[in-house]
Amino acid sequence: MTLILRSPRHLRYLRYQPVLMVLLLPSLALIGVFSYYPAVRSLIGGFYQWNGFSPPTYSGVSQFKEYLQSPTFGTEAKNLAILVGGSIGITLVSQFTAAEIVVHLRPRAAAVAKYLLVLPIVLPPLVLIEVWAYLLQPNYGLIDKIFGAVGLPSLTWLSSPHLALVSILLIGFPWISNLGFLIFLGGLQNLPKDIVDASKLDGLGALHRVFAIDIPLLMPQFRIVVILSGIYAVQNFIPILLLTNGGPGTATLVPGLDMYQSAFSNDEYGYGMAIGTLLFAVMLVFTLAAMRLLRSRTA
Amino acid sequence: MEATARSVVAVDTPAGRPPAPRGRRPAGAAARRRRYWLVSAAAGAVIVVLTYFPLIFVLSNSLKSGQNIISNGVFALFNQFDVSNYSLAWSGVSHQLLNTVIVAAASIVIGVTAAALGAYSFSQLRFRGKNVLFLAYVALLLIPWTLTLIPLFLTIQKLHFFNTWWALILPYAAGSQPLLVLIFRGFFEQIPRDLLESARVDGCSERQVIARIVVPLTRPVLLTGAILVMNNVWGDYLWPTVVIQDPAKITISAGVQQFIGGLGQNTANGGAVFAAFVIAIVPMFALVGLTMRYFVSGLTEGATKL
Repeated sequence: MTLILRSPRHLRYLRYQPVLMVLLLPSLALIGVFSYYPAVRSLIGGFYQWNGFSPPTYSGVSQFKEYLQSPTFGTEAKNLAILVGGSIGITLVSQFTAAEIVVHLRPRAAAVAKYLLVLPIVLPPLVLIEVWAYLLQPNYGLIDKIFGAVGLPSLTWLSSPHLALVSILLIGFPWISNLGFLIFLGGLQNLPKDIVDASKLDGLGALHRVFAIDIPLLMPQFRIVVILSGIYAVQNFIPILLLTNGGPGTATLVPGLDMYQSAFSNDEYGYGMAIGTLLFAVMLVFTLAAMRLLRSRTA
Repeated sequence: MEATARSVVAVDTPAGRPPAPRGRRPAGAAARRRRYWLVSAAAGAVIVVLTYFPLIFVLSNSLKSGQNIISNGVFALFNQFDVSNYSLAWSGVSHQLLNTVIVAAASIVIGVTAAALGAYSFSQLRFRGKNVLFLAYVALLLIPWTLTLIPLFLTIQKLHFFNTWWALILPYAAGSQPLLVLIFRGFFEQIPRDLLESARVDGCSERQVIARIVVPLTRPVLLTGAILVMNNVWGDYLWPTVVIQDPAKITISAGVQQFIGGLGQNTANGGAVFAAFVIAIVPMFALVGLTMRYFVSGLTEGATKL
């Protein structure tokens, strides 16, 4: 009652209180059943052995241990590190460069370029993956033809143990059409005008300006893009599932694919959820580390 | 800017040279400026061409017979216009295209409505535990889909949704909640409270306030939400293959993959594969091409809120 009497403002809000839970219910029901319940169940599920039919049996941390000691774990961790490191590097360089180019265009040309570079974001990933599988085909694929034209040897991209991972990273070249490009572009377009003008007055060259001003001022954007692309790369086993299925041998096996196969091919649901939990922990640590390490130096 | 710097120097020279006339750039600056524009325009053209070249190949190959795709070599573009590929591809994926539209429409209706109502209460109403509840939405952005993939499948089985469209619709609608509630709330907070209050004083029920004032004002952001959900349904390959067994019920990305698998190694039909790619690409390009502003605002709004 005291709350109501405090101000007419509170009275105004409280009048609608019975309505409010009804309004929130559909959304809460959706995330409760299809987001929170599965997430909690996954965190618990890793501690139970379960084949999907017989009742689950408690197994403590044995499944986590089993995965960490499995013969493929070392390869999976190495492949994951290469893919995550590679795609973060690729993403930052290509999308930041593209944003720098677009921001230096005349306004109308910049608008057209932005439109054209954003549109392919809606390309279905499956189509992009399959098209690149075609372009990377040995002997008559585009990449091989280009290599042949400049005198480089013909390579069996996806079926070579040494090149398969690189091929997975190559998918989507030039990797511009993505959220990161928009984030960088927005950051560059909103740079404080007086700083940019002052740098021009000082006669700072374009390249020098990029390193001395743009990159330090865009630290918050770099942080978001590193986190988003890192998390995406940890999870994205779909190109591998479609093109190599972890092969040749275990050359492209990653934890996500192992998790998927454990559950949906081998009926080891508990084991799969244990891998999922470990992946979640890795992503959490990665996100927190990136947030700390890439703190903006100006703020 | 350099022009001004130079003229200042000219004034200070003791030789008594007349200062450069005001507003005129010294020779060389204009040329340098033009070269600067040319270099950036060329770089812009290069990145656009690099981005689009795979699509040009897809389009060119979709109009060739299977034999020609192999014998022509990759550099022979648009030397044949055989549209029969499209009729074969259309018969293979048109059904899945329709499925996608139905699933997306249902996901949009459920997901956008639930998120809009939730965001409305977060932005316009005050109640105990609001901040904690809102944090529960933000925290969901940190939960990766790989963590929930297996138990979500088990949940779908338990609810007897396996191999039905509900197995797609409800998780898509639920998955869209954190981002949409975040975007919608930011937008709803800009609606002047007094406007809604005066409607209430005039005797509008809460439902009428939402239907007559909030919805018309927020149509752009609701459209943004719808596009984001549509894009997600359209591009998702993995989840439909996990919960849908019946090829006749699957959505477009998985449908295209099925179509390719069905053709197998038969190179005679190679062109139809590319035609199927084009069919899967064009509707989304058209939709987002026409609503680019809303799509971009949705993507960037979500990212800046992180």
